[in-house]
Amino acid sequence: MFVLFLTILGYNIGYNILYLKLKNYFGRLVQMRFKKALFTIAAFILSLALLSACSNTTTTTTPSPIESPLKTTSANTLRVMALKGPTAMGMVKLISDAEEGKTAYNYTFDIVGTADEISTKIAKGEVDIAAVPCNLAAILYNKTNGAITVTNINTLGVLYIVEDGNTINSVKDLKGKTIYTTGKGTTPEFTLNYILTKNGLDPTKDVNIIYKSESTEVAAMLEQDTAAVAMLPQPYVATVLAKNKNLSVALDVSKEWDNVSSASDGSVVTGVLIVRNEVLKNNKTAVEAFLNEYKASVEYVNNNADAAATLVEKYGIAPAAIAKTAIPECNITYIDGNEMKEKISGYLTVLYNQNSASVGGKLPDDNFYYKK
Amino acid sequence: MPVKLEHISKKFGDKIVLSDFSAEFKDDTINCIMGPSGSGKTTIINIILGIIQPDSGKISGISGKRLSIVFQDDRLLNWLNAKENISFVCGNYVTDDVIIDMLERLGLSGSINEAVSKLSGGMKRRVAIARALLYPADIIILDEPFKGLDEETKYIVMDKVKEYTKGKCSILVTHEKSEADYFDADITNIYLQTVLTE
Amino acid sequence: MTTSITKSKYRQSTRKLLFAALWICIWQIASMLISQEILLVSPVVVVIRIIGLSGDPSFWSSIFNSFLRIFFGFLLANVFGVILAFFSSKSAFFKDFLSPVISIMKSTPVASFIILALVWINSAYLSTFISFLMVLPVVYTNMLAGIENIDSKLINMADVFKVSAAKKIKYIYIPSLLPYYSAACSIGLGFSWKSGIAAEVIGLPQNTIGFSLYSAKIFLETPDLFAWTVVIIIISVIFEKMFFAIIKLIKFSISKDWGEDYAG
Repeated sequence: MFVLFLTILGYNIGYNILYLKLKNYFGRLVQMRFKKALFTIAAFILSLALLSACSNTTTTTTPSPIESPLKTTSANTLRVMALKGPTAMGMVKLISDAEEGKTAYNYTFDIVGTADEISTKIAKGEVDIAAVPCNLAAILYNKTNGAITVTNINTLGVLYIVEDGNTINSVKDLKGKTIYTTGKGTTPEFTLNYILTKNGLDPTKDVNIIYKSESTEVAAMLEQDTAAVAMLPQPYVATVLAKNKNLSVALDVSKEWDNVSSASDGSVVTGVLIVRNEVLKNNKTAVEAFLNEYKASVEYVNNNADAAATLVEKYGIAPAAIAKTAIPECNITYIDGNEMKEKISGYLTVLYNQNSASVGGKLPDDNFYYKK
Repeated sequence: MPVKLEHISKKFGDKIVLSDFSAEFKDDTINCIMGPSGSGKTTIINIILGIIQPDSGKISGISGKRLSIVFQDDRLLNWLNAKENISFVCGNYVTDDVIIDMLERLGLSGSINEAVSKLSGGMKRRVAIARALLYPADIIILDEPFKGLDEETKYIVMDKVKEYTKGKCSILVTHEKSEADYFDADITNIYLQTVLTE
Repeated sequence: MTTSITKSKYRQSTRKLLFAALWICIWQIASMLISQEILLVSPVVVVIRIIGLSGDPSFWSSIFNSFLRIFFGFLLANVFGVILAFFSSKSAFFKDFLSPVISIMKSTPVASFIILALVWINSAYLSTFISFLMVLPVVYTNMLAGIENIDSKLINMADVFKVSAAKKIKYIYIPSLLPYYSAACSIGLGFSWKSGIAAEVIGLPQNTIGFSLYSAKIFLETPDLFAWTVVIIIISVIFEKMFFAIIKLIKFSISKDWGEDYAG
């Protein structure tokens, strides 16, 4: 009924506006047929738009997987993208092997600076596998109506509390302190809030959290305000510690999370690997091969920090010296299956409870998690 | 007390504009300054207004007196209408009715509330004249006031000028001898530097 | 005469509406073709989202916060711009002294200012500061030109007729300066608003439009992104209309028949 009304309305509006307009343009009632055709078409387009507007609003409310119709991959090449940072570090051996042709299939790699690039390429179907932040994976799952699956965790927690001195030994010691950090409005904020609250501290009253845009600003603040502490992610922690010899790591945020959390709250999960469902459907063997080789790459990186650090620098992620100290602290890992699901779903719930938008509006269902 | 200029000299850079110029402008008289362009009429006016100081010589009869003027370039406020232009200057001295009456008599009844920018050159001039006439002054300077007015309106305006300059010391600057004659003016011919009979 | 003018104005605005509607149809069709919410949402979704957002009190408080801060920066820029222009008009030394600073302010890109300012200024005041920085050179330059262009002949005329200072200000100075001020503000309003929001997106003060834009971005809430953008545009338009209404009021209080031919 609504649709019908709109169509009629649209037709009427179109008729009236165009009739008046054309009357002015053509002056006389000559070329009546042309005019009639013109405003009929316009009115039709208008009502079509209104019609589809209604149907469009209904489709967005009912979840159904949307196939990305655009690009198709060749059978044996997987296009991989990663965010520059700790979540890309586990991959470096694999990238090197792919360059040397040692891998089972062809993989192309692209390490980018912003998550937006990855999101849009996933949406457009121009990339097959991506290493993304955990909450972004959930957001993408929701926004593409379930077109992706998370295959494994590649990085657990990378956040650390850093101080000038030796006074902080537990989260409770943070009471009354000023904490400089980055990541306002997103996962670092929620992670910090969680461990504070679980340790009986009110993030708004018992501590003074000051958010900066860049880790360099945080480092600068620490130089000025030696009584303050900072929460930073790796590899920035390594960078900052290298520059300012007075600083040291006081707390491992991931450990503190695990200390106070129940199993249902999961663990801090920074990075995961996602794959587009279409690729999974058409190319499952390639994807599984990739995952196996990826797992091997992670093991290599964790056991050969020096060699891995060189690769990290080679692929523009971080300088080798920094990477060497950072890699062991980045909790680079390969976790899949049920353990992955437990950790991720718990973590996402904690985020969801603070801001549902941070996981894309609702918690992902079971189909989000990859089952072999 | 007449306005007296005695032995006024003024030069701008190398150009000597006035050299030993003397003149007397009497009260209750229309004094006329005549002379070709560039002969220093504007300079004399500016000296009387006090904008320029003469290099040498003396002026008397100005202090304590009110001056009114019709500028050669009108100098109206374009964003105001005719009535507002006049009340800007005369508002404290005459009522709106008087202003409107004057404008009507000068043939501007249709343009009283029109922004001055929309008026023709001749109409603007008439507004400027009305403004000068209504302002309560002891000395009134009219710098080529009738230039650009068409024949018809010219005489109406000149008539009004005659009426409203009674009792004032008026200084009329013009090229046209016919205007000077109309007013029975005392003529000072700058070029010849002679003062005709009183 | 007047009826055909209003008729053609009516035709003009219907024309504008029609073409706007055409673009919205194009937008609608495009969003349907792409059908990926992350990339483009349909105008209908945006309208619905705006309506949804307007039910949330934090929506209004964000708008209020942003507007207040940015407008304050705009006002400060006006005050300082006029004062500085006044002094520059009186002193060539002062004018030349300020000149390089003003040039730099005019040519530096907003982003540079924002990033530099973040280091010194609390993110809460960033938008005020940036808005101030962007508008100040505009107001200054225009008012200086206005002051320098005041017709001294008119002032001279007023002095001969011994017109009071107050009247001179109201009827000569203000009307002479008004078109310059109006020009400055028509540029400055848009500038301050846009650069202020940009500052908020980088500085992220709590509960502001910029913060909402940023959140929408990182959480891929494309409908919100579009919705907030539309809101920003609407406020900008309201801001400008309000402002020009005030200018009209000023003109009206000076003269009921303010000459339309007269620029401004």
